[in-house]
Amino acid sequence: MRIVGVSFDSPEENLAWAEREGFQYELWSDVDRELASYFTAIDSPEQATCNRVTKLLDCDGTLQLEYVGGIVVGAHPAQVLEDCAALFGP
Amino acid sequence: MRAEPLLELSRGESGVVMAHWSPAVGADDPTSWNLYGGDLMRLGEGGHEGSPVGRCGLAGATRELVLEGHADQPGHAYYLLTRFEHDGVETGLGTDSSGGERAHLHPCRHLSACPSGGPLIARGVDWSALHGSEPPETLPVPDFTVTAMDGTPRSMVDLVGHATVLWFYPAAATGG
Repeated sequence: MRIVGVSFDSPEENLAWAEREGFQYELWSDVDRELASYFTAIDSPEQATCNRVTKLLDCDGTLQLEYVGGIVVGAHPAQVLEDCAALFGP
Repeated sequence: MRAEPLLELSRGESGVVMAHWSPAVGADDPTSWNLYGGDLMRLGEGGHEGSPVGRCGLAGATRELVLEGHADQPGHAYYLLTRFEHDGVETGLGTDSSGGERAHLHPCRHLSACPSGGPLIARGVDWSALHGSEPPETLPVPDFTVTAMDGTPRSMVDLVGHATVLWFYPAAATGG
Protein backbone atom coordinates (compact mmCIF):
# COMPACT_ATOMS: atom_id res chain seq x y z
CA MET A 1 0.00 0.00 0.00
CA ARG A 2 1.38 3.32 -1.01
CA ILE A 3 0.24 6.71 0.29
CA VAL A 4 0.75 9.83 -1.81
CA GLY A 5 -0.29 13.37 -0.95
CA VAL A 6 -1.07 15.75 -3.81
CA SER A 7 -1.43 19.52 -3.81
CA PHE A 8 -0.41 22.55 -5.85
CA ASP A 9 2.33 23.47 -3.40
CA SER A 10 5.89 23.58 -4.66
CA PRO A 11 8.22 20.63 -4.02
CA GLU A 12 10.15 22.82 -1.59
CA GLU A 13 7.04 23.61 0.44
CA ASN A 14 6.05 19.97 0.48
CA LEU A 15 9.52 18.86 1.51
CA ALA A 16 9.61 21.32 4.39
CA TRP A 17 6.19 20.19 5.62
CA ALA A 18 7.01 16.50 5.26
CA GLU A 19 10.26 16.92 7.21
CA ARG A 20 8.55 18.93 9.91
CA GLU A 21 5.77 16.37 10.33
CA GLY A 22 7.92 13.30 9.73
CA PHE A 23 5.78 11.98 6.90
CA GLN A 24 6.92 8.59 5.65
CA TYR A 25 5.32 9.03 2.25
CA GLU A 26 5.72 11.31 -0.74
CA LEU A 27 3.96 14.57 -1.43
CA TRP A 28 3.55 15.44 -5.08
CA SER A 29 3.34 18.89 -6.64
CA ASP A 30 0.59 18.93 -9.24
CA VAL A 31 1.15 22.50 -10.40
CA ASP A 32 -0.39 21.84 -13.82
CA ARG A 33 -3.49 20.39 -12.15
CA GLU A 34 -3.30 17.21 -14.23
CA LEU A 35 -4.13 14.79 -11.44
CA ALA A 36 -6.49 17.17 -9.70
CA SER A 37 -8.45 17.68 -12.91
CA TYR A 38 -8.75 14.01 -13.68
CA PHE A 39 -9.81 13.16 -10.16
CA THR A 40 -12.15 16.15 -9.92
CA ALA A 41 -10.27 17.52 -6.95
CA ILE A 42 -10.92 20.98 -8.36
CA ASP A 43 -14.13 22.59 -9.55
CA SER A 44 -12.44 24.83 -12.11
CA PRO A 45 -8.96 25.09 -13.66
CA GLU A 46 -8.45 28.47 -11.99
CA GLN A 47 -8.93 27.12 -8.50
CA ALA A 48 -5.99 28.13 -6.31
CA THR A 49 -6.00 25.04 -4.11
CA CYS A 50 -7.49 21.61 -4.58
CA ASN A 51 -10.39 20.24 -2.61
CA ARG A 52 -9.85 17.75 0.12
CA VAL A 53 -10.60 14.40 -1.54
CA THR A 54 -9.09 10.95 -1.26
CA LYS A 55 -8.97 8.24 -3.92
CA LEU A 56 -8.08 4.59 -3.54
CA LEU A 57 -6.45 3.06 -6.62
CA ASP A 58 -5.73 -0.57 -7.25
CA CYS A 59 -2.45 -1.96 -8.57
CA ASP A 60 -3.37 -0.99 -12.11
CA GLY A 61 -3.94 2.61 -11.13
CA THR A 62 -7.67 2.16 -11.50
CA LEU A 63 -9.95 4.09 -9.20
CA GLN A 64 -11.74 1.82 -6.74
CA LEU A 65 -13.11 4.04 -4.02
CA GLU A 66 -13.32 7.76 -3.46
CA TYR A 67 -14.10 10.15 -0.64
CA VAL A 68 -15.53 13.42 -1.84
CA GLY A 69 -16.94 15.92 0.59
CA GLY A 70 -17.77 15.45 4.21
CA ILE A 71 -14.25 14.41 5.15
CA VAL A 72 -13.66 14.80 8.87
CA VAL A 73 -9.94 15.48 9.07
CA GLY A 74 -9.32 13.78 12.39
CA ALA A 75 -11.23 10.60 11.64
CA HIS A 76 -10.44 10.27 7.95
CA PRO A 77 -7.11 8.38 8.10
CA ALA A 78 -8.56 5.59 10.22
CA GLN A 79 -11.56 5.29 7.90
CA VAL A 80 -9.29 5.08 4.86
CA LEU A 81 -7.09 2.43 6.44
CA GLU A 82 -10.13 0.38 7.37
CA ASP A 83 -11.48 0.58 3.84
CA CYS A 84 -8.08 -0.26 2.38
CA ALA A 85 -7.99 -3.40 4.47
CA ALA A 86 -11.44 -4.32 3.22
CA LEU A 87 -10.53 -3.67 -0.39
CA PHE A 88 -6.99 -4.88 -0.64
CA GLY A 89 -6.55 -7.10 2.36
CA PRO A 90 -4.65 -6.47 5.58
CA MET B 1 -3.65 -33.52 7.10
CA ARG B 2 -5.92 -30.60 6.41
CA ALA B 3 -9.39 -31.25 5.14
CA GLU B 4 -11.01 -29.07 2.52
CA PRO B 5 -13.98 -26.87 3.37
CA LEU B 6 -17.38 -28.16 2.38
CA LEU B 7 -19.61 -26.07 0.15
CA GLU B 8 -23.37 -26.34 0.33
CA LEU B 9 -26.00 -24.59 -1.74
CA SER B 10 -29.53 -23.95 -0.59
CA ARG B 11 -32.53 -21.98 -1.74
CA GLY B 12 -34.17 -19.70 0.76
CA GLU B 13 -37.85 -19.00 1.12
CA SER B 14 -37.60 -15.90 -1.04
CA GLY B 15 -35.98 -17.94 -3.80
CA VAL B 16 -32.44 -16.64 -3.39
CA VAL B 17 -29.67 -19.18 -3.64
CA MET B 18 -27.25 -19.20 -0.74
CA ALA B 19 -23.80 -20.71 -0.59
CA HIS B 20 -22.51 -21.78 2.79
CA TRP B 21 -19.14 -23.22 3.45
CA SER B 22 -17.39 -24.41 6.53
CA PRO B 23 -14.30 -26.40 7.35
CA ALA B 24 -14.67 -30.14 7.24
CA VAL B 25 -14.08 -32.06 10.40
CA GLY B 26 -10.38 -32.13 11.05
CA ALA B 27 -9.57 -28.88 9.32
CA ASP B 28 -6.69 -27.14 10.97
CA ASP B 29 -8.26 -23.83 11.88
CA PRO B 30 -8.10 -22.00 8.56
CA THR B 31 -7.86 -18.26 9.01
CA SER B 32 -10.12 -17.33 6.12
CA TRP B 33 -11.97 -18.66 3.08
CA ASN B 34 -11.85 -17.62 -0.52
CA LEU B 35 -14.68 -18.40 -2.88
CA TYR B 36 -14.11 -18.71 -6.61
CA GLY B 37 -16.69 -19.05 -9.30
CA GLY B 38 -17.22 -18.97 -13.02
CA ASP B 39 -19.25 -20.13 -15.96
CA LEU B 40 -18.87 -23.87 -16.30
CA MET B 41 -18.92 -23.58 -20.08
CA ARG B 42 -15.73 -21.56 -19.90
CA LEU B 43 -13.93 -23.75 -17.46
CA GLY B 44 -10.61 -24.71 -18.93
CA GLU B 45 -10.65 -22.18 -21.71
CA GLY B 46 -7.76 -20.29 -20.20
CA GLY B 47 -7.18 -16.66 -20.97
CA HIS B 48 -8.75 -13.75 -19.18
CA GLU B 49 -12.03 -15.16 -18.02
CA GLY B 50 -11.58 -18.87 -18.23
CA SER B 51 -9.53 -20.27 -15.40
CA PRO B 52 -9.16 -23.55 -13.59
CA VAL B 53 -10.72 -21.90 -10.58
CA GLY B 54 -12.55 -18.90 -11.95
CA ARG B 55 -12.38 -15.44 -10.53
CA CYS B 56 -12.24 -14.54 -6.92
CA GLY B 57 -15.73 -13.88 -5.71
CA LEU B 58 -15.31 -13.36 -2.04
CA ALA B 59 -12.55 -13.51 0.49
CA GLY B 60 -12.43 -13.23 4.19
CA ALA B 61 -13.75 -14.89 7.23
CA THR B 62 -17.37 -14.91 6.14
CA ARG B 63 -18.90 -18.29 5.36
CA GLU B 64 -22.01 -17.33 3.48
CA LEU B 65 -22.85 -15.64 0.21
CA VAL B 66 -26.04 -14.87 -1.69
CA LEU B 67 -25.59 -16.00 -5.28
CA GLU B 68 -27.74 -13.35 -6.80
CA GLY B 69 -27.71 -13.34 -10.58
CA HIS B 70 -25.31 -16.21 -10.99
CA ALA B 71 -26.81 -19.60 -10.47
CA ASP B 72 -30.17 -18.90 -12.04
CA GLN B 73 -29.11 -17.76 -15.50
CA PRO B 74 -30.86 -20.02 -18.01
CA GLY B 75 -28.58 -22.08 -20.19
CA HIS B 76 -25.57 -21.61 -17.96
CA ALA B 77 -24.06 -23.68 -15.26
CA TYR B 78 -22.12 -21.85 -12.62
CA TYR B 79 -19.47 -23.52 -10.54
CA LEU B 80 -18.07 -22.56 -7.17
CA LEU B 81 -14.96 -23.57 -5.36
CA THR B 82 -13.90 -22.69 -1.84
CA ARG B 83 -10.30 -22.57 -0.79
CA PHE B 84 -9.08 -21.86 2.67
CA GLU B 85 -6.04 -20.09 3.94
CA HIS B 86 -3.59 -20.60 6.72
CA ASP B 87 -1.57 -17.55 7.63
CA GLY B 88 -2.12 -15.95 4.25
CA VAL B 89 -1.24 -19.03 2.24
CA GLU B 90 -4.02 -20.59 0.23
CA THR B 91 -4.24 -24.33 -0.17
CA GLY B 92 -3.10 -25.69 -3.53
CA LEU B 93 -5.25 -26.70 -6.47
CA GLY B 94 -3.78 -30.12 -6.96
CA THR B 95 -2.32 -31.41 -10.17
CA ASP B 96 -3.59 -31.78 -13.71
CA SER B 97 -3.63 -34.99 -15.76
CA SER B 98 0.03 -34.53 -16.65
CA GLY B 99 1.00 -34.27 -13.01
CA GLY B 100 1.79 -30.59 -13.08
CA GLU B 101 0.55 -28.14 -10.47
CA ARG B 102 -2.62 -26.38 -11.59
CA ALA B 103 -2.01 -22.70 -12.15
CA HIS B 104 -3.99 -20.22 -10.13
CA LEU B 105 -4.67 -17.51 -12.67
CA HIS B 106 -7.00 -15.25 -10.73
CA PRO B 107 -6.20 -15.43 -7.04
CA CYS B 108 -8.06 -13.19 -4.65
CA ARG B 109 -6.48 -9.78 -4.51
CA HIS B 110 -4.82 -10.08 -1.16
CA LEU B 111 -3.01 -13.24 -2.35
CA SER B 112 -1.51 -11.60 -5.40
CA ALA B 113 1.44 -9.21 -5.43
CA CYS B 114 -0.29 -7.03 -7.98
CA PRO B 115 -3.67 -8.38 -9.00
CA SER B 116 -5.21 -7.31 -12.25
CA GLY B 117 -8.52 -5.57 -12.52
CA GLY B 118 -11.75 -7.40 -12.18
CA PRO B 119 -14.91 -7.42 -10.17
CA LEU B 120 -14.00 -5.83 -6.90
CA ILE B 121 -16.00 -7.61 -4.28
CA ALA B 122 -13.07 -8.92 -2.33
CA ARG B 123 -13.77 -9.33 1.36
CA GLY B 124 -17.44 -8.81 0.76
CA VAL B 125 -17.17 -5.05 0.39
CA ASP B 126 -20.60 -3.50 0.25
CA TRP B 127 -20.26 -0.19 -1.55
CA SER B 128 -23.41 1.30 -0.17
CA ALA B 129 -22.40 0.40 3.35
CA LEU B 130 -18.93 1.77 2.83
CA HIS B 131 -19.76 4.91 1.06
CA GLY B 132 -23.46 5.37 0.60
CA SER B 133 -23.08 5.47 -3.15
CA GLU B 134 -22.37 3.40 -6.21
CA PRO B 135 -18.78 2.43 -7.00
CA PRO B 136 -16.90 5.16 -8.88
CA GLU B 137 -16.26 4.83 -12.55
CA THR B 138 -13.32 2.51 -12.93
CA LEU B 139 -11.06 3.88 -15.62
CA PRO B 140 -7.28 3.72 -15.49
CA VAL B 141 -5.67 7.00 -14.64
CA PRO B 142 -4.21 8.66 -17.78
CA ASP B 143 -0.54 9.48 -17.87
CA PHE B 144 0.53 12.62 -16.05
CA THR B 145 3.62 14.39 -14.80
CA VAL B 146 3.98 15.79 -11.31
CA THR B 147 7.00 16.52 -9.14
CA ALA B 148 8.00 14.75 -5.96
CA MET B 149 9.49 16.55 -2.97
CA ASP B 150 13.06 15.94 -4.14
CA GLY B 151 12.33 17.33 -7.59
CA THR B 152 11.99 13.93 -9.22
CA PRO B 153 9.26 13.67 -11.84
CA ARG B 154 6.49 11.20 -11.15
CA SER B 155 4.09 9.74 -13.69
CA MET B 156 1.56 6.99 -14.21
CA VAL B 157 4.32 4.41 -13.93
CA ASP B 158 4.68 5.34 -10.28
CA LEU B 159 1.07 4.44 -9.57
CA VAL B 160 1.27 0.98 -11.08
CA GLY B 161 2.32 -1.97 -9.00
CA HIS B 162 0.93 -0.79 -5.69
CA ALA B 163 -2.49 -0.15 -4.35
CA THR B 164 -2.40 3.59 -3.67
CA VAL B 165 -4.08 6.07 -1.39
CA LEU B 166 -4.09 9.30 -3.37
CA TRP B 167 -4.80 12.08 -0.91
CA PHE B 168 -5.51 15.57 -2.24
CA TYR B 169 -5.09 18.37 0.29
CA PRO B 170 -5.53 22.12 -0.16
CA ALA B 171 -2.08 23.19 0.99
CA ALA B 172 0.80 22.18 3.25
CA ALA B 173 0.09 22.31 6.96
CA THR B 174 -3.66 22.00 6.48
CA GLY B 175 -3.72 18.54 7.99
CA GLY B 176 -5.98 15.58 7.35
